[in-house]
Amino acid sequence: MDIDCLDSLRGCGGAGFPTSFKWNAVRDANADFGKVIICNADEGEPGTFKDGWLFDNHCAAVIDGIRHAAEYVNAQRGFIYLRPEYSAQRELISAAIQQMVSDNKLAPQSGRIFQANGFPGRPAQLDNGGLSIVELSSLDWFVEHGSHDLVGETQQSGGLAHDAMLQYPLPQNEDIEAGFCLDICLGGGAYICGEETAMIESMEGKRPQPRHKPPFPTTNGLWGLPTLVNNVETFWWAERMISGEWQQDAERLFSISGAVNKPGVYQAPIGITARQLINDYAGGVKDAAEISCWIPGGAATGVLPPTLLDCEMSTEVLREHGTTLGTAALVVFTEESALEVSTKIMQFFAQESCSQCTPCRIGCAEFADYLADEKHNWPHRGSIDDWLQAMQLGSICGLGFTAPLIIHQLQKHFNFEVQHAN
Amino acid sequence: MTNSIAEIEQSECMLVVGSNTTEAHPVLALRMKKAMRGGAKLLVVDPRKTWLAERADVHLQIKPGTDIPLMNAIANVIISEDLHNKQYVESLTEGFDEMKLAAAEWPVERAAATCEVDAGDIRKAARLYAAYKHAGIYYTLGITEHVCGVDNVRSLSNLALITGHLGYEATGVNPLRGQNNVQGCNDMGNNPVYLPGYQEVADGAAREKFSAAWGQQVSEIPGRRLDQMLDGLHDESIKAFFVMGEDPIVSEPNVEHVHVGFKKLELLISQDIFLNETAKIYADVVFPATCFAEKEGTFTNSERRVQRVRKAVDAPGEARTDLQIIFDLAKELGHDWGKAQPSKVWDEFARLSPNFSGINYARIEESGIQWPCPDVSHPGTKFLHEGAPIRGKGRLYPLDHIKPWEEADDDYPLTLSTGRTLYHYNAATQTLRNEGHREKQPKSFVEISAEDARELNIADKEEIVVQSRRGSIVSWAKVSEKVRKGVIWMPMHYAEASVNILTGDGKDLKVGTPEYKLCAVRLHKP
Amino acid sequence: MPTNTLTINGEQVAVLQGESLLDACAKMGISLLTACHDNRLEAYGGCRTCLVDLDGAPRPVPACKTLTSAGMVVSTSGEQLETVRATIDEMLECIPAAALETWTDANRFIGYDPQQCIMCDRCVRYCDEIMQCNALEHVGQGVDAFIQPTQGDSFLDTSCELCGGCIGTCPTDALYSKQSLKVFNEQSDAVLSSTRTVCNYCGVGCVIDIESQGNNVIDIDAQTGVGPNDGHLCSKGRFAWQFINHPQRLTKPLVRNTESGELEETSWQNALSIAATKMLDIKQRHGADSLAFLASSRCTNEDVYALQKLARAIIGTNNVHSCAAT
Ligand code: SF4
Ligand code: SF4
Ligand code: SF4
Ligand code: SF4
Ligand code: FES
Repeated sequence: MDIDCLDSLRGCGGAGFPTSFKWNAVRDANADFGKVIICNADEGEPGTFKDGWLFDNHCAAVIDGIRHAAEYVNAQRGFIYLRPEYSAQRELISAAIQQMVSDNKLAPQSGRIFQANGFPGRPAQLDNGGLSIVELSSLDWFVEHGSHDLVGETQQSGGLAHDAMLQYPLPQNEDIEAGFCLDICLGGGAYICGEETAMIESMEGKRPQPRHKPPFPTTNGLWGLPTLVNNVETFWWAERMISGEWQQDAERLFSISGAVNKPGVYQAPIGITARQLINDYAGGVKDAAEISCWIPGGAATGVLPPTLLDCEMSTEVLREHGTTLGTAALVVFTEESALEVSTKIMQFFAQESCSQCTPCRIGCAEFADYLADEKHNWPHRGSIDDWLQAMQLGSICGLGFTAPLIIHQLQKHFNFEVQHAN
Repeated sequence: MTNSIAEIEQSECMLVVGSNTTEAHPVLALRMKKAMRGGAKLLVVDPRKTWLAERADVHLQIKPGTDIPLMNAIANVIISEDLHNKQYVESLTEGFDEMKLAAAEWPVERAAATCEVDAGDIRKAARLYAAYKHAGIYYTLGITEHVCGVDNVRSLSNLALITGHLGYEATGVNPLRGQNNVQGCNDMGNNPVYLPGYQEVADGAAREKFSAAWGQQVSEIPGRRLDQMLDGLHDESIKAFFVMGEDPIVSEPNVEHVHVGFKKLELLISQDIFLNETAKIYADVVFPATCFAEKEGTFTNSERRVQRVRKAVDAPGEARTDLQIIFDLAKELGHDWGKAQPSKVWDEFARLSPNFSGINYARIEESGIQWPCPDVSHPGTKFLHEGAPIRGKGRLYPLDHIKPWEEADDDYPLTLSTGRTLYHYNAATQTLRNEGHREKQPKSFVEISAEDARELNIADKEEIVVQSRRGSIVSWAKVSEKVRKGVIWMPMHYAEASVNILTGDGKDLKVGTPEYKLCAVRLHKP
Repeated sequence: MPTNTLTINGEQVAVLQGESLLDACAKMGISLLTACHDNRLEAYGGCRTCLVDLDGAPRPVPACKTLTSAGMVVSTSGEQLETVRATIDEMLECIPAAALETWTDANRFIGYDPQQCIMCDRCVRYCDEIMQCNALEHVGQGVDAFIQPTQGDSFLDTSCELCGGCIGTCPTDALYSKQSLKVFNEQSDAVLSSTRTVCNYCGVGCVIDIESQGNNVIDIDAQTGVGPNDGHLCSKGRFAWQFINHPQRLTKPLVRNTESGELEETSWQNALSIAATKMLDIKQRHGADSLAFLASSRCTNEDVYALQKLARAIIGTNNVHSCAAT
């Protein structure tokens, strides 16, 4: 199998890593004990719901993408790590897997459902309250359903064993003969589980704390095996490219939500402007109100001012404005100010920090308090810049590295004054 | 121990026999746990399903008292499958042929039937033990407190010798000492047949050396072991007892019998930190002594390491250090030994005992030294028998099964076995004085298998009477998966339910260690 | 053992394979502050106090968690790095605004104060890796994270063995000994001292430090790297010291009143002279071998040596033994 066609494809989960590079790394890794593929469908980035949409509309194509990747890297086991609230999608996936089992495209055992670990005291939310994927992606939903507000209980989820993953045998024995076996793993219900190594830890039944890298999952992933982790969308594009349906990495799926008339997932060329997306795809701003601020690529990409609505939605251009394309999730705000939105994002980070490393554990919380405080008092000896720098340079994973961006964007685009108490 | 505690971490295979290491020697067990984490194989021989047994690669849950048949069968597998170290056996052992013949009497199937374990497991254990170079044997009271205690130990050393598992790191035969200074106590000649430094009383030259050093003639009449001393109470050949830090009526088996003996004594002098049971009833004179935190000296641990004990606080009231009391008494007896100085006492011992001559307080100021250490430039000895067994050739013993002193029968259908738990220590005079420990494990209990409990209609936590031919005690049932059918187990720590009331007169035929581990009992409701 | 050569602060150093940058720095005499590191545990890399610059890495790396490899170029100082480290130190002092209630666990040994806790996970990892009890867990996220007995039960009902190793490894006062807190007197100006000695329970012979205030024992602890125990202790060694200051301790010699049959307090001189007179009398009447000497295997070597010498050299008998011959 040849993957030259994937040369231009970059991962769609937020980090934008070249896809073929990862696939080749896993293909070339040690195969003695088997290899694993994980399709990351945890979709915990506020504003993002394209994975849910893809399962709703193109489930079989996504799974074909996973199968082809498995074939290419020679993986025996695969998992779709699914956001636990996505119950409708879970059924679609199960049905699609069953179909492929009957067509002999997947190993007969495929389609089992496992439950990954969450944070103790924070069981995964298996009850989505009947909300749509758009509603489930809102920042408010995430802030509200953070660490404290528990919905549903993991143990009551139709006999899914909480620690099933722990006991699962290494994928050597039966499965190699039987072909590629694809199962579903319900996520642990924490934002950080979207980080690939935290996700792997949660699948191993551990506390979902990101691992130190290197080593990377491509060589030491689930159960220590070489593991390919890609986003749902990445597998979908890959499948379209491999099947020849699509040639170029020139378009992406944009999740558009917030104060727009037609929130939804739209395929559009990379480089389109935000204004075009809002007006030409999402039916314009709700009630034709004035935009107070907007988010280009999910909560982690911070807020931008309305003056930048005409800039191109591409990694390169957004970088000039201090941010990235992230998960290509555009969120439009009209009622809340940039400061209010940023405060919520910071609060969300503070509650979702896995608490493994000091800069993120303490930093996020202190900045959330600082933004929420009307007087913006900064009670610490070290300057705000020192603290932001310590988070950026001293954290273990992306959550801690990028959290300072929220403050930086406020400073850069909204004249937010940094103040000192002492 | 032939080897050192730290080495255990490097083990590839550990054979743990009759030792509930995680409870009796918790910190040593941490090294085993570490080795296990690193993938070392673990073989456990224990009638009880201990923490280690649950995690073992092979757990041989033998019928109590059948260690020798089992070890013979293991030796048999090793020899018949040609897994033994022929070169070691030929050049460095003696008695192989006799031993081999005796072991051949115990084919795996026969041993499996006698020990009531799976034959396949015996084979597996034998193969694993023989396969790894860094394979060590660890045992405790579980193996020595039997009528055949000495032979039990020999059956283990047979295994080490035929596989050549001796004389380098993380191997050997390692008794884990129950009390902090059992090792030192033996080293010091607190033994009827050994003078300090393992020099025999029977050896005229040794006696001469000590007589000269002490200015008094050392008697050539061998002394009495504890069990013989106790017997001597009954025939009145022992008239006076000096007891330093012990409570024999609690700690010795067959308590009723011991009481009868003590009543006949003319003089009992007790020296202890608390007024113990023996002193309370029988002592004529009681000396208030000091605990380890109130005195200077040395302890020698299981790995033969001599370490400094230092004074942290003053003794209460007029209590004096044990050494001071002995010196005072010596003076009163007409021998002025001068000032009671621990370092001087050690130096006198070291001067007279070649294996210890290189150790002095200055050298062990920072960290302890493991004997043998013959001179001050010697670094101490981490493992014994390097290159060859110390006595030149390792002796292999032909052994056969010796039935326990008392076996379960129709009248007393259960076998009682006893031991220590993590939270208490021996007679628990110290630990039961700690509120927190008392709370975690406040009262005595009897572990009984679910099967036996059902047959006897005993519920968990129910009060029950444990009765043997010698007496009975009240305790509480604890239905547990740890024990096998037909066996019950009790901790030894509780005075109000002293298991020594139940235990018998069985003792090792060779050295008189009481058979604490086994006796026949029955259970009934109060 | 294969070795790697790397450069730290411009100087070359050779280390064994498998050693961390922290080990390498230690070899060069560079001591880095650490908080989440305990060299008996697997490296964690969470507290970030030991960050150093590594050429080629996108941001500073934790020395404790970074394995050395040949050719690495490392720097342990520099303005930016030092600012980051200083800021992290400041963060560690931060008491989370939402400090939780302490657990109200009935156990008498282990207490927890979340306000002091820096979430370094040493306690959890100790219990998991060393004790293999898994009796502690890290729960919650962000500043609301804390440590609790697994499943939130009291220590008395879990697999906890009350070894106190979690207290031993805790770099702050978050986990503390309740017993010590109870006997420690803040008001008193009695001298605090620490005495290195050996545990008096089992034959492992753990080296311990007895902490005392005046004449009261207030704690027992052990140091990593010392003795056969490497800082580990069991429940008995660490906590069973109340007997030392116990009110039931004997403080005066006793002799039995021949009339009442009771034991009565007396002077040393009297007790010694009664004992000696009776011993000599029995020796005279029944011979030396009618006296027997029993020493506990809990006594020091010197005590035991002196006692057997008294038996052998003064009384003239070899009747010396102890309770457990194992
Ligand atoms: S940066 Fe935050 S989320 Fe990432 S490891 Fe550190 S504490 Fe956890
Ligand atoms: S006391 Fe020991 S067993 Fe209990 S939680 Fe602490 S480390 Fe674990
Ligand atoms: S209790 Fe102590 S050891 Fe445990 S996480 Fe907190 S600071 Fe670290
Ligand atoms: S601390 Fe525990 S293991 Fe260590 S010597 Fe004391 S009783 Fe034995
Ligand atoms: S000591 Fe290195 S990160 Fe904590």
